[in-house]
This record gives sequence, structure tokens and C-alpha cells, in this order.
Amino acid sequence: MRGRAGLVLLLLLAAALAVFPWVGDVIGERFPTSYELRLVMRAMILAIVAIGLNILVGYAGLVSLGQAALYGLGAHVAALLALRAGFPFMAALAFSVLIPAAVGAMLAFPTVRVRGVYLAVITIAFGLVFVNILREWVGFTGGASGLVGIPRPTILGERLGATRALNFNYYYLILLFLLAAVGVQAALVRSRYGRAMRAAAQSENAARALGINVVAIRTLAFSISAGFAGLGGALFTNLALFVNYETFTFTTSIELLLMVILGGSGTLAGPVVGTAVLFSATQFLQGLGQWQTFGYGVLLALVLFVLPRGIVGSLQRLMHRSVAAETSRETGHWPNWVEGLGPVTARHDDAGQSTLLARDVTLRFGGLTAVNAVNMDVRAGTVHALIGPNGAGKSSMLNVVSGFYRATSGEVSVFGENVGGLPPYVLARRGIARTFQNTELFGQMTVLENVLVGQHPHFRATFAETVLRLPRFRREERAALAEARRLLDFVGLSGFAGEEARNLPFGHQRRLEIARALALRPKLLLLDEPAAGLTHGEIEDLVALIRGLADRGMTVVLVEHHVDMIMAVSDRVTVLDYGEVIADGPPSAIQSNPKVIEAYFGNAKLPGVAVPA
Amino acid sequence: MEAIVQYLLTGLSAGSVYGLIALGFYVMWSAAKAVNFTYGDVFMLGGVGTVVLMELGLPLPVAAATAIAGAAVVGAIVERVFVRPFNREANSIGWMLTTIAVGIMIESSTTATYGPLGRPLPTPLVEHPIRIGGSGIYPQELLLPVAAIAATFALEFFYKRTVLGRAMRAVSFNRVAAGLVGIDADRITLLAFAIAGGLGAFAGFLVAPVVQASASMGVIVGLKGFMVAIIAGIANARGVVIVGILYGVAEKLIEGFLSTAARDAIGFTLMILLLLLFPQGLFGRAEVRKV
Repeated sequence: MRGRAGLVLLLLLAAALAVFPWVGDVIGERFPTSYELRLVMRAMILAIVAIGLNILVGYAGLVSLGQAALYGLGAHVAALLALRAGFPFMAALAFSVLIPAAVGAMLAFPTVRVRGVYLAVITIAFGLVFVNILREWVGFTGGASGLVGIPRPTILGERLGATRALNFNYYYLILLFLLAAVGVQAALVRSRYGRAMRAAAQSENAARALGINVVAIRTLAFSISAGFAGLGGALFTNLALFVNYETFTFTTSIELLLMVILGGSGTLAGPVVGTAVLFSATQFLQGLGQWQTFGYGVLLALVLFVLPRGIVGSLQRLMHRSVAAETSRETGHWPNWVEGLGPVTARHDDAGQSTLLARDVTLRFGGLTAVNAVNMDVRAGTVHALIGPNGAGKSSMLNVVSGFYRATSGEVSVFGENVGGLPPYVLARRGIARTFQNTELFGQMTVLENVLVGQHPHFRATFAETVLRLPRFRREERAALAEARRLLDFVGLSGFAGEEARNLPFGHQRRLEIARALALRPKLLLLDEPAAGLTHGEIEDLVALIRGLADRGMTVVLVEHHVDMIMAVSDRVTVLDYGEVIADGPPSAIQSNPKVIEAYFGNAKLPGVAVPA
Repeated sequence: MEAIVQYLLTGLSAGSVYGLIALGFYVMWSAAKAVNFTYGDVFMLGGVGTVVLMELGLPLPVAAATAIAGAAVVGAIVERVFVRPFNREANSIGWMLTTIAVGIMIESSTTATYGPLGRPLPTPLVEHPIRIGGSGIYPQELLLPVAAIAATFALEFFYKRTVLGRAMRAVSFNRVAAGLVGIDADRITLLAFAIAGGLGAFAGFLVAPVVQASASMGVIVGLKGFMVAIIAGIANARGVVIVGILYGVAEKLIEGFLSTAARDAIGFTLMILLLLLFPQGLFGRAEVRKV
């Protein structure tokens, strides 16, 4: 519904922009003048750059403060290729997109590994260096006088320009690119790439546990945004036929960021709306003279305080509120083994095989030994509980198995292969899914989207197929959506599909996390205290669910405190205390093991202490 | 040889400024896992504020102390109004944008009122250069490394030996746990930003006699200070100051042997490469991500 309204508005905007050059013929005045036409074209170019930046800021949750430099890089690549190498317009344009995209990837890769903040700093630095080079390397870039005499662009011998004689063909070319940019943005956002970007921004750990290579997806996001900036730059060069560094300073970077935030970062229409509003405001701010920059600062702060979601984001919220009241929100029963869940449990090791084998696994943090020479053998298709008092090393062990911690020594093999040192996303793709002790949902994504993120590794459609929405992509997306809905049915959350995950009650969050983990179609499911915070009834349902999965061949490792639950659900129990295995065996044997009783309740032989058995 | 000594000396003094600023970033980052992104403008307030107050007739020490105190207040205001409300969730990016907005306002309003040009800040230490092995340097420039080292030790003493400093470390280690033992984490963070503000302004005041106090004196220096802090790993006081000094020396060597124009391009490229090789920073340890 919202998507369709957006499409109608977009078509209206496109139509308005399309007739704009000809308005004068209708009203019989000299309008628009070539100056006004130029302003609109520049606004459209900036909108393209802003759309790219929105992918980075709004979806990947990273900030670039050097976007103007990438814009400028594209502009200079186009100018230099045309001037010095005689490249035709379209070829130069292609390089103007590719080179900034490559530079963007090089800037992003080292920085996004650690913290997003670093990218912001590196991009400012890049922006300053870029302008510095342009200014100083006079022989190459013309310094302050810039590059002049750029030849008029042509396509297949057809001259391009924004004059009546040429039917404003360059104007329409820019409009076409703008619409294409809008389309690419929409395609990207509504695909696994967009979902992965948002997931990585909202919970890095959960994203990694679901098979998303966080560094790669962030690098991709920045590279795409740099490509958009470069495209804008090339279009600008061929419009102005002159470039110098003054257009691409830090102030422009801030302007671009302001456009995205003002319009509504993380919304499809935001960057276009923001560009339109700010670009008009800029014409007014220019009257402030030396206080113009101050005006930008005030505006940026005001937007962040008053309209943190931006114009479009705030409007959407208003609309969503009025719609939300009508949706049904009935919680279904779970586990609900609906038709078609087969593929979820279809791939599994043969019964009796060791799905997870840990040998002498030791994990130390500095002087603290969290896990000490632990041996574990988890057989395929069984429920294996890992229990022990608080701080016994259960979660640490789970983190080693899922790749979040690297064992100090020892070997872990999963599905028959040694996996020591592999990152979580690789393990997830091989078939290890997990939940977290403190649920880690993607809070600002809908319940349905959360499950869809879990299907990230299943897609085979390439990036190009996704952006162009080719048949294979559509087919996979449809299949993913159907399976996600089945999984929501399975945990009884169908009524909440459109709700933001953070608004779910706690028990439902646990259910959702399990559904999301199952979306990976795991062979090995690691559950970290899934019953914590659940009611008695919910725990019974959870037991049925775990048992049902194991009966269908899935291997489950369960870290839990609830003794009743462990006894009801597990085939085998490993007990940890102070990082060491103190008992291992079937639940009935564990229950009466004196060592276990001692670990939980203390030494029974102390005088005057009675042990409740 | 003489040239090298000259580069080392001026590099030492320029690098100390980066070190002091990086120290301020470190103090803010430790407490809040966020910083005043345009901290360079607080640094600038130290220099410009002192000049303006002296022009109003205040003696140097009073003017400097007032400017530094004023900058500390600005630091605290930035934390309370622009950082805290925008740093509620992990991975927030709001504080970056709000502090940039403040920075723009501070810098552009200073440019508009104080003027775009630099003005001298006369101190007795920039009257006569002293000669060391044929190289000339102002005593004021030699004061900078002394100040940087003193600030480092003072900060380490504060962190390790005072109740307040320990509380600050506790907050940086685990905000929630610090709260549970009765530490008001919000107030500690406010204090950290005030200390950083004072420290930055102190650096600005010290360097102003050498470089002249101007509205734009902080922008690049602040950014380099942040990069220095990142390269060092924002993990301890000594680390950031050492990297700051090294970066200053490296810059002067590049300037001397290659060109001034290439300085920042090479310097920043170097930093990016270092970050590629040492993603956790030179002195940083890999953080154990709590899962």
C-alpha cells in the first residue's frame, strides 16, 4: 500500500520534472530561464549523490563526511578523460562511476572492520586530502582556475545540451539517471543486500551469526554510495563544462548529509525530498553571506532535534500509526508444524555421526581460563544440553563453537571438518545457527524482515540480477518470503509480521529469534538459554519445538538452567564447572551424579549442612 | 644534519599538539564511546579566547585561565546537549552529526565575529628563538612537548590514584556495572568532556603564539588529533601522545624532504595504511566483543 502510494508520487514528480522545461510555452512567459533550468538540473544531480549517501547512512548506518570528494573525484575523472584522453561521454561516465566506487572500497575496507566512527574520520581526511591535491597539483588539475574547455558531451554523434534547440536532451538524460538511481535504491533496499546492511547496522553480532559478512556488506554499501557520487560528478562536469575544487569541499559534504537527514535517512523518498527542500533553502541561505555556514550548522542541529527521522520518516510514522490500529495481533500456538517446513530440517548429518566434536578446547581471557580442556561429542539428531553454574563457561563454549571466540588451544570440528578460527559468518553458512542469551533482534526491522535476514546465505542471484530484479532474483525472493511466513506460522507470530521487532513482548522476541535462526536451515542449532524469561506454558511449547526439530534430524545444543526442561528434552548432558567438564552422560545419570550436586549445591559433607536433593 | 635537527625539533612541538588533542579524544571516548567530533574548535577557543580577552585588557595568565575554563564549560555543554541525547543506543551515529553541527556553528560564528585572519598572541617565550646546534626554535615550541608529557602523567595519575579518576575508568569499562556500585555515569561523562575541553583549550592557548590564533586553526589539527588517537588505538594516554609526537615528526620530515603540499596527502595515506595493518591501533588490544 505504502509502496504503491510512493510509486504514484514518484511518477507525479517525474511528470512534473519532464514538463518543466516546456512550462513557458503553456503560460506564455520566458520560464524557465536557462539559469532556472540549470538550478533544477543541479538539484537532480545532487539528488543522485544524496540517494547514494542515503544507502550508506540510512541503511548501512555509516557516516561519510567526504562524499563531496567522491562526487568531485567522479567530476574530475570525467573531465580529465574527456580533456586529456579524448574519451567519449558514455565511456568517461562509466569510469567516473567505477573509479570512485573502487576508491570507496579501499577507504572503507580498513575502517569498517573496527568501528563505524572510523569511516567518518577517514572520509573527512580523504576529503581534505582530495581538495589539497586538486589545489596544489596545478599542472594536472589546473589548481584554482580548474579544468576548462571540457568538450560538449555527445552520444552516438548526437550533441547533448539543455537548450531548446536540442530539445533539452541533457536535461532529460539527467532526469533518466535520477529515476534510475531511485529505482536502483529501491531494488537494493528491498533485497537481501539492503536487509543485510540494515541488519549489520542494528546488531552486528546477530548479523554475523546469520551468515552476513559484515565487513564486506559495509564495504559494498560505501562503494555503491561512492559510485552514485561519481555518477553525479560526471553529470555535473558535463553540465558545467568546468570543474575546480571549490565545488567539492567539506561544506558540500555536510550539505549532502543534511539533505539525507532532512529528507529522512533510511527512507526511499528521503534523499529526493531532502535535496529539493535544502536546495531551495540554500538559495535563501546564500543571502546570509558569511553567516551561511552558520545557517547550515543551525539547520543540521534543528533537524536532528526536531525531526530526527526527517520529513519523510516523520510522515511515514504518522501514517503508520493510523494504520497500525487495524491490524490483528493474535498470537498463534507454537510449534505449529505447518505444511512446507520440510526444507528447514532437510539438510542434516546422518544419525549417529558426530556433528560437533570438541577436543581439549581451552579459552583464556588474559589470566582467566573460561573454558579448560573441554571435550564434547554431540551426535547428529540429538539434543545435547550444556549446563553448569553461572560462570562455568557454557556461553563461552557456545561462542567458540559459533566462531565468535577463537579457542586458545584445542580443536573444534563441525560436520566432520575442523573449523577452528573460521569467522561466524562462514560457520553460519555451513549450517550453524544460534540464538543469544540476551536476544539480539534487529529492533527496527519488522518481524518478517528479521526472518528474511536469516535467509541471506541462500540467495544465488548475483548483485546485478538483484538490482535489475531479473527472474532468478524474483523467484528466490518469492520463495524466501513464503518460507519466512511459514516460519512465522511455525512460532505463532504471523499476526505480528509487520510489527517492528523491538515492540514485541519478551517471550515473542525469543520465538522470533528461533524462527530467524531456523531460516538459515541449520544442521546444528545452538540455543543460549532460550527458556530464560519464558512462562511455564511457553517452556513446555519450547520443549516440544526442540524435540520436534531433533526428531526431524536437526542437532541441537542447548545451554540452559531450567533443570526440568533439560531432563525433559535432552538426550545427553555435559556439565561444566569452572570451565571444566565434570560430568557427561544421559540426563538420568547426571541427576544423581555427586559431583554435579556438589557443583550446584556445595559439599554435602560439611557439618550441619543438609543438601536438598 | 642541521636540517634534520630542525625538523625533529619542530616536529616534536607540532606532534605534541596532536598528542594533546588525541589525549582529549581519548578522555571523551573512554567515558562515552563518543566524542565531540569537532573538538578542534574547542582547541581553537583556547587560542582565540585568550587573544580576545587580552585585547579586552586582561593580563595573559588571567585571559588564558578564563579561556580554558570557558572551553571546559563548552565541552560540558556539548556533552549534555549534543552528545548524551544522541548516544543512547549502541552504534548511534546521531552524536557525530550533532557535534559536527555545533562545530560548524562555533567555527563560522567565530569567523564572522573575530574575523577570518589570525592574530598574534604575544608571550615572552616567542620573542627570541634559541639556537640548538644551529637550528632555531622558540622556547614556546619547546614548552609544548613538556606540556604534553606533563598532561599525560597528570592524566595517568588522575585515572589511577584519585577516586574520581577511578570512577571514570570504571565507567569506561562498564557503564552499567559502574552505575550499580553508585557511580553517576552521566555526571562522570560530563566531567570527562569538561576535562577534555579544558585540555584542548590549553593546547590551543600554548600553540597560538607560534601559529597565530585564528578561527580555522582547529579544523585540521582536530581531525589529525582524532586520527592519531585512532591509530594509537584510543587505549591509553601514553600511546596516543607517543603516536601524536611521531606523526608530528613524520610530517615535518615529509615537508622538509618532499614538499609541504604533499604533507597531508602522504600523512593521511600513511594513517590509512597503518589502520589497514593494525585495525585495533598500535597500542590497542583487540576488544573482546561481548556476545
